[in-house]
Amino acid sequence: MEIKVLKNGFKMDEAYKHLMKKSKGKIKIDNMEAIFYPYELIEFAIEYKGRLSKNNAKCLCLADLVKGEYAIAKSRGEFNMMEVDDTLVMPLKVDRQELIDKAPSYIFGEILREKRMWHNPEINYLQSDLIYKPFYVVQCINEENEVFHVLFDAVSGGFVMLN
Amino acid sequence: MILGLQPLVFFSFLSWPVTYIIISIIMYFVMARNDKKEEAWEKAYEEWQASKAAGGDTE
Amino acid sequence: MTEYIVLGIYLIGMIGIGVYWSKKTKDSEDYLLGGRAMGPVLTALTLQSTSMSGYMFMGGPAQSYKEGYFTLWYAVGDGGGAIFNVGILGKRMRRLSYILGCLSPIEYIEARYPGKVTRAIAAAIAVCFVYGYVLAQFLSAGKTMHALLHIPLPAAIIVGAGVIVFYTFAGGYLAVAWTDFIQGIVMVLAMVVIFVLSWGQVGGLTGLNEALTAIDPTYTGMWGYQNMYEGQWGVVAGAVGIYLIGYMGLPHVVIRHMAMEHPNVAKNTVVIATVYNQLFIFVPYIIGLMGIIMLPNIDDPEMVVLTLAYELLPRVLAAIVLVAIMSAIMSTADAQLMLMGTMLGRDIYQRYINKDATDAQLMNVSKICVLVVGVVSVLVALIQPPGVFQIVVFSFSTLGSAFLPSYVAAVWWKRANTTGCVASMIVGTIVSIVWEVAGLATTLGIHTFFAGVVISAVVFIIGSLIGKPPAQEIQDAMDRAACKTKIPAGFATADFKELAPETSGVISFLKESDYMEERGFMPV
Repeated sequence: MEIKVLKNGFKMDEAYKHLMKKSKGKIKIDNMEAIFYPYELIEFAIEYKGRLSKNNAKCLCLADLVKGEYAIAKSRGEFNMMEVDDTLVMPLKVDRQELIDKAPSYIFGEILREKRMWHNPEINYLQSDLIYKPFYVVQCINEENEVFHVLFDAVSGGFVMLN
Repeated sequence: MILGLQPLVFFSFLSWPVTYIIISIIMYFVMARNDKKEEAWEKAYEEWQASKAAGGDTE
Repeated sequence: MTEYIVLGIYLIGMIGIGVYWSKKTKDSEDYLLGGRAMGPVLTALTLQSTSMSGYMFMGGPAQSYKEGYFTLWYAVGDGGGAIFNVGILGKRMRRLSYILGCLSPIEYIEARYPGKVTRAIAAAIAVCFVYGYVLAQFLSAGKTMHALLHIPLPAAIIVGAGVIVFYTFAGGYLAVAWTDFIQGIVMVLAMVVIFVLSWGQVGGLTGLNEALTAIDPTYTGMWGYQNMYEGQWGVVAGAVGIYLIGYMGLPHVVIRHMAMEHPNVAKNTVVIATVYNQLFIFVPYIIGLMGIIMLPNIDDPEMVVLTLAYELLPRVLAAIVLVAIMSAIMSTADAQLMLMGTMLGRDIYQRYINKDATDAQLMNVSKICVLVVGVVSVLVALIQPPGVFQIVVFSFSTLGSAFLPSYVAAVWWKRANTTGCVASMIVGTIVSIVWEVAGLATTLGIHTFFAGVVISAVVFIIGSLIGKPPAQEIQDAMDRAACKTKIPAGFATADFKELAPETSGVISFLKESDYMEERGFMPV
């Protein structure tokens, strides 16, 4: 299937090198495969009016389509259209529309907290897009022959244990 | 008499500012050393922050 | 007249900065909430200006005016507060709150100590005693207005409270970092100028101390005016401890740890906050001492700073000091009122009364609460205005007794659980109130804060040992916050980033699907 993917900073061989360097060669990597994680990138226009000033701004909200959690994104990022194997793409667990509908409430809370606002800002939906972020699932073997898995973030180069 | 106070009173009340500043500076270096130990971790964290800035990560 | 003009110019200036700033944001089409880029110095000053409050201009000096050097025990504790606060909670709390995914200090208590009643109790206690602070601010504002407008105190309290409530509602636009910053500078300058001028008048510290000793040697003694606290080490322990460790129990202070942009900011904060505190925490108390000599016949010791300003400075500058005090009060009060509104709205109304409340409803509930709080405070203040110092210290003692064990144990003790947390919040609050009402601090010679925290901590430990240990997930989260998660040899723990919210989603996908098997992986 063809999906819109966030541009990755780490190709698979670069991820390999990065992990080897980080572990100082203490691990072996015997398998690595890509996996694509779905998000809804939603853009809102925000208007808040006061007696003294009127302010318009945009707000980008990144909604996790597996766990249904939100985050504020600072900028759009770059994307590529990619043709990938269906089985590498994680299925959506949350209804996209529902997530979009609930996003203003999240943003509202964030504005309240950050800006100390006492007036209802107007939050209007502008557009949204289904995007994917690339990760690698990596199988490693350490010097004690323990097998463990690591999830590698192909955009940032960060990684965590899968256990 | 120190500054018109009994030595005990003086040290009880007015010697603290200097002590605290010294402690805080020592603490700065201790914490900086711990930070260094965690440097790799910090770096990963920063990369993660950077990726958030690029709109590609959740918080 | 001068006062009105100065106040007018100051307010217009603040509004101007607010408008300019919001225009600037608009022009550059910044993404809202794109993150603030404030350096550590600006951050520190902003934080200090919101916490400095009327207390430092009124309550503190008044107390040392009455009790002499003994009051400096409070300053001794306060000066080291940042060291303890950041050292003990700092980084770990920042990480744990991130891992548990919570943003308000009350939510954090509930996430760490899950249970049906945790949040209700925590929010109720926090609301009641943060209210103590608000009340103190209203009183300070009233007294300042009284001095400024020369109207009777009751009317002045109404005007002062009105100004604060108005500022809170309109403040969202003005309360940007820069206005807080400028207010911070004005306050600090006002304090320093008065200090330096008084210093000259009394002949420095030596002159001050010799004059004090001449009036009454107990002023410069260890145990307070007329040895009122002689041998009462329990009072000393409480006075030092209240600000040395007490901050760790204040919901509106610990939230700053949670909001720290990056854990390694902590070390800069320690130094900046400590140096700043040495300069500006001791000063107000010493000004109070200078007041004993320079203003021997003042009616209300809480007016020491203001009266000195009028005696020592040209009228315009004295008016600026007045404005500084007012802005100290406003920048503290608006944050506290807002916190109360949010707690009443989110933590109580939405959580327990109307689960499906819309945001607009929530906002309205919060606004109504703030108005009600304002009106009630005015009534309370009119009936019997106690001193600012007493209210602040009492609220501080109670919040500390209720929350300190829970916040500290949350990151340091794995066994700490809901039973301990709930029991210590309730017992801590009750002990603190009973102690104060029954006047046990004076009869037993043990400070309310000291008694409250010790008993609350003991109850916390017993409760935690009786109750079930916290869920495995919480224990794991604590390990991660302490960077202790066990990782198979090969990588250093530090190589792993703090958290990836996607991880759990990926793990369940890998377990449910054939992904691993099809691609020749071992199962996760």
